[in-house]
Amino acid sequence: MANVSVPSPAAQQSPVDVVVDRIWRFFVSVKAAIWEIVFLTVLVLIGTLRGSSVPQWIADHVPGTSGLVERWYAWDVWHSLPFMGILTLLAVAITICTANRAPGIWQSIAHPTVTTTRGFLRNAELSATMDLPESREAAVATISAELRGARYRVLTEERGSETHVYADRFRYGKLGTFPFHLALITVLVGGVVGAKWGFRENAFLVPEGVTRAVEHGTAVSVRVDDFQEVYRETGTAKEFRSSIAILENGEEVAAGSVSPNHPLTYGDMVFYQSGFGQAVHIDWVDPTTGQLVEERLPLGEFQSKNNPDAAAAVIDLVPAGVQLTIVAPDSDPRNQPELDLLKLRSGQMYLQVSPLPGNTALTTKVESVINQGETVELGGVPFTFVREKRFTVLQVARNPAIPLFIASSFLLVGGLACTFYFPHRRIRGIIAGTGPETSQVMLAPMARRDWSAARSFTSVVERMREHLHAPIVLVDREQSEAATSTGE
Amino acid sequence: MEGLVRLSFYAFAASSIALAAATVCYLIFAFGWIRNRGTALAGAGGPTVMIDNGSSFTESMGRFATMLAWFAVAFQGISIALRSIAAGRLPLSNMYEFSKTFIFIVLLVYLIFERWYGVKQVGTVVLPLALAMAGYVWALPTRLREVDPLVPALQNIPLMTIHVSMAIIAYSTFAVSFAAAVLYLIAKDRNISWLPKPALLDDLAYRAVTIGFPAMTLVLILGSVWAYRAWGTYWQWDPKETAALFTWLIYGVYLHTRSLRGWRGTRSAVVLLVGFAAVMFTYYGNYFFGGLHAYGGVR
Amino acid sequence: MSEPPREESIATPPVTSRRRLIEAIIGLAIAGGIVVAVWIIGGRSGWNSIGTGGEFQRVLPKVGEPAPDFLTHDVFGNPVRLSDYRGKPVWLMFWGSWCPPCRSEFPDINAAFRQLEPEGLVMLGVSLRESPLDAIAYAAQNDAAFIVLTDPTEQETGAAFPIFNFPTHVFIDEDGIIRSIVLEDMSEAQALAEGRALLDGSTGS
Repeated sequence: MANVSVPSPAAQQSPVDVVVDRIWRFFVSVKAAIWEIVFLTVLVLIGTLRGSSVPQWIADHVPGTSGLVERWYAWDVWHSLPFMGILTLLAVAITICTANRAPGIWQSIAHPTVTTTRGFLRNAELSATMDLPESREAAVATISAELRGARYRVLTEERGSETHVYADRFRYGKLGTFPFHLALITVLVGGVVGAKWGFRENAFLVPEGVTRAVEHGTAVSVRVDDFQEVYRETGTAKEFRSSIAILENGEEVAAGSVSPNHPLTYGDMVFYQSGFGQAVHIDWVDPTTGQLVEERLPLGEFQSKNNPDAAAAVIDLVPAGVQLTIVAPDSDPRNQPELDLLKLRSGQMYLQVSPLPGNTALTTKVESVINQGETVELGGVPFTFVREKRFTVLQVARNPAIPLFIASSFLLVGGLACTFYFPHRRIRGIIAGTGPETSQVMLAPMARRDWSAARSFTSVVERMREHLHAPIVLVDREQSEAATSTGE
Repeated sequence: MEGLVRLSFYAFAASSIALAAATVCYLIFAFGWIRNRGTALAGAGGPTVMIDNGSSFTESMGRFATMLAWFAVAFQGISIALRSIAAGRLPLSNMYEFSKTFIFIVLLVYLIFERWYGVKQVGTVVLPLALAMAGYVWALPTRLREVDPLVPALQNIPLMTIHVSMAIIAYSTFAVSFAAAVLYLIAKDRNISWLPKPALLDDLAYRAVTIGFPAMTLVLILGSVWAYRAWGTYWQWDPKETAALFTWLIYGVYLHTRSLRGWRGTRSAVVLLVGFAAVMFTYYGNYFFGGLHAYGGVR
Repeated sequence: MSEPPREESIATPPVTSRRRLIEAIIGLAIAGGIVVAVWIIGGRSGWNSIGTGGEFQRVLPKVGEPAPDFLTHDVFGNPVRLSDYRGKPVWLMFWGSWCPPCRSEFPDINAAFRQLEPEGLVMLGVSLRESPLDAIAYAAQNDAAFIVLTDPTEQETGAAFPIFNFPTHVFIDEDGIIRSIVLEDMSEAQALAEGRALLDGSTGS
C-alpha cells in the first residue's frame, strides 16, 4: 500500500523508492559482488582449516586462543547461517549483475559505436599510421579487406572527409560469461534440490542373505547374497565387493556386484559399497506362533559393557517380549584384553536376554555362552547359534539434481573457454583523404594495458606491411616513454 | 617391469641434476644481466649497447639454461613414461608420483611460455620452485619409490588420470603466474632494466591463469564426478575439496577484479601471490588434513 | 622509422652458426655426462634394489611353479610334510580360528570339501598364529572334515608360504604344481568350482 510510485525528481523520492534503489544499486555493484566473493572465500578458508590440524597448532602456539579454537572446531561452517546467507546473496547478485550487464554487452556485439576521435588514436598506447597512394574510397576498401583477411568484422561510417573504421574479432566470446554464471546458479539450485528431494543413507548395513528395505518413500529393498574381501598376497586390500539384488515390491528388478568405484544404479537410485564387518546367524523360535525365525545380525554397531572392544549386536524380539544382546569374541590382539570380562573363545557367542517392558514372565537378565551349532533356552526362547557370516555396509543415495550438475559442468567449462580463448579484439581507425590519389590511415587497438591484445594488433599490422608494401609507422607510446626515462 | 621402475628412478635422478644445473644457469643469466646493465648504465649514460663480451656470455648462459631445462623435461618425461608402463597407469597416486609429474608439467608449461613470450627471466623464479619440489621428492620416504598398488577407493584409472592431471596443469600454470607476479612486483616503478616490461609480465600471469582457472574448474567438476562414483556423493565438504574451492575462489577474485574493476599490475600481482599460497596449502594439505583425500602416503 | 617494435625487452644478439654448433656439442656432452654420473651414483647408492617392492613384491610361490615343501605337525604332534601327499591333488588352506572371515567361510568350505573328498582330494588346513589347542577345539566343535595342521609361530611353514592375509587357499595338483591361489573367503559354490577345477586338471594330465 505504501508503494505509491509517482514519477518525481530524485530529491522527492519516497523512502521505499530510495530503499529499492539502494538495494538495486547494491546488487548491480561489481565492487559489492567482489566483496561477497571475498567473504565467501574467507568462510571457505575457515571451514577448510576446521578440518585440519592448523587451529590446534594455533591454540598450542598462541596463548589465549584455545577457547576460540574450540569454538572454531565446533562451528559447522558449511551448514551455518552466514554461509547459506552469502551463497544466497551471491546467487542473487550474480543474477542481477549479469542481467544488468547484458544489454551493454549485447550492444557492443550487435551495434558497436563505429566512430572514434583522433584524440583516442593519438593517445592510444599503440597505434599505426600509414600513407596509401590511393583515394580514400580505395583505401577504405584495402584496409577493410586486410582486416577481414585477419578474420575481423569491419564496420565503417562516413564522417565528412573521413571514414571511421571499427573492426572486431571473437565478439561472441563475450557471451561466455552468461553460461558460466548461469551454471553457478544452477549448481546452487542443484544443491538445494538434492537436499530437499534426494536422500542418502550412509551406513546401510546388510548381512549376507538378508533383504533390507531402503524406505524413504520407496518400495525398493536390497538383498545381499554374498560379500567378499579380496587381498593381495602381501596383505593389502585389493577389493571388497557385494553381490546384491534390488527388489521393488518384492520383485527382483536388478542384480549385480558393487565395489568401491563401481556402484550399481537402479532408476535414480545408486547403491555403493562402503564397508563391511562380522555378522552372526541366530535362529530362535517365536513362542506365539511356534515358528522358527532366522535372524542374521550385523555385529559391531553396539558396544558391550562386558567387552567394549568386541563386536556386538542388540535386537528387540518383540513377539518373545525380550531384548537379545550378542557379543562375539574379540579377534583383534591390539585391543585391551583387561576389559574383556567374557573371555570368549573363537566359535563362541555370548547371549544375554533381558525382558522388554510388559514382559512379566522374565524379571532378570539371563545369559549364556554357546558354541556354534548349539542351542540354548534363555527367557523361555530357544536360540541356536547357526554360524558366522559377513555383513556389508552399503550407501544408498538418490539425487534428482544430478542432470542439473552435469549440464552445469558443461556450461562452466564452455563458458570459460569462450571467455578466455576467444577474447574480444577491437581495432578503431580513421581513414582520411590527403589528396585525390593519396590517403592517410590511422589505426589503434582497444588494448589499454593489455599486452596480448597489443601483440595481436601488431601482428595484424605486420600482415598489412607485407601485403601493402607501404611504410607503416607503429608507435608504442609506452616503450618510447620508457626509453625517454631511461635516457635521463 | 621391476627393471622399468628402477630405470625410471635413474631418469628422475638425471632430471634432477639437469634441473639443478638449469636453475644455476637461469640465475647466472639473470644476475649477468643485472651486472651488465649496471656497468653499461654507469659507463654510457645513454641508450645501452647490448652486445659486448659480457652479455654474450650471459646470452650463452641463457641458451644453456633453456637447453638444460629441456633436458630436465626430457629425462622427467622418460622417467614418467617408464613408471607408467610398469604400473599400467600414470604416476599420480601419491605425493611422490604427483610431485614428479608436477615437476615435469611445470617445467613444460614454463618452457612453452618462455617460447611464446620470448622472455627467460620468469625462469629465475619457476626453476628454483621446481628444484625445491625435486628436493621434496628426494626427501620423501624411500618406500614411495616403489610402485604401490592402488587402494580400492582409487581404482578408477580414467578418472584418476584426468582429475589429477588437471590438478597438476592448474597448479603448474598458477606457479608460472606466481613467478610472473613476483617479477612484476620487483619490476614495477623501479625501472629494473633486466626484467621484461611490467605489462608483459602482467599479461603472462593473466594468460597462465586463463589456462589454470578452467583446469581448476575441471578439477572440481571431475572430482565431483569421481566422488559421486566412489563415495556416493558429489560433494563431501572434505578439507581437500574445500581447499581446492578456496583456491578456485581466489583466482575467481583475480579474474573479476581484473576484467570488471580493471585491476592490473600491483593489486593483481598481490592477488596472485595469495592464490599461489592457496595452491601450496591445497598441494600440501595432506600433511594437516584428515579426510578422504589421505592417499598421499606421507602420513 | 619502419622498424617493428621488439617485444622482448632484452634483445637477443645475433648468434653465429659456429657458436650454435659448439653449444649443441657442449649440450650433448652435458646430457651424456649426466647419464654417466647418474649411473655411477646409482650403483653406489643402492638404487639397484628399487622396483622390487610395492606392486612387484612377491611373497607367495607363483602359480604354475612347484609348491615348496614344508614340515609341520598335525593335532597329535605327528610330523607332516606337504610332499607326503605328492600324487594326490591337495587343497592347502592357511587359516586361524581367530579370523572372522575364516570362521564365516568355515561351514561353506567344509561342506564343499565333504563333497569333493570322495573324488580323491586331500585338504590340509594349517592354523597359524594361535595356540594349537584353540585350533583343535574350534575344528572339533565344527566337525572339520579336513586334516588340521598347526604352526602357531609360522616357523615351520613361513619360509615356504609367507602368509599375510587370512584365509589363503592354495590348490596344488598331484605333481606338486600350484594350480591356483585364492586370497579371499569363498562361498560353497566358489570352493566347489576351485576344487573341481583342480581335480579335473589333475586327472587330465
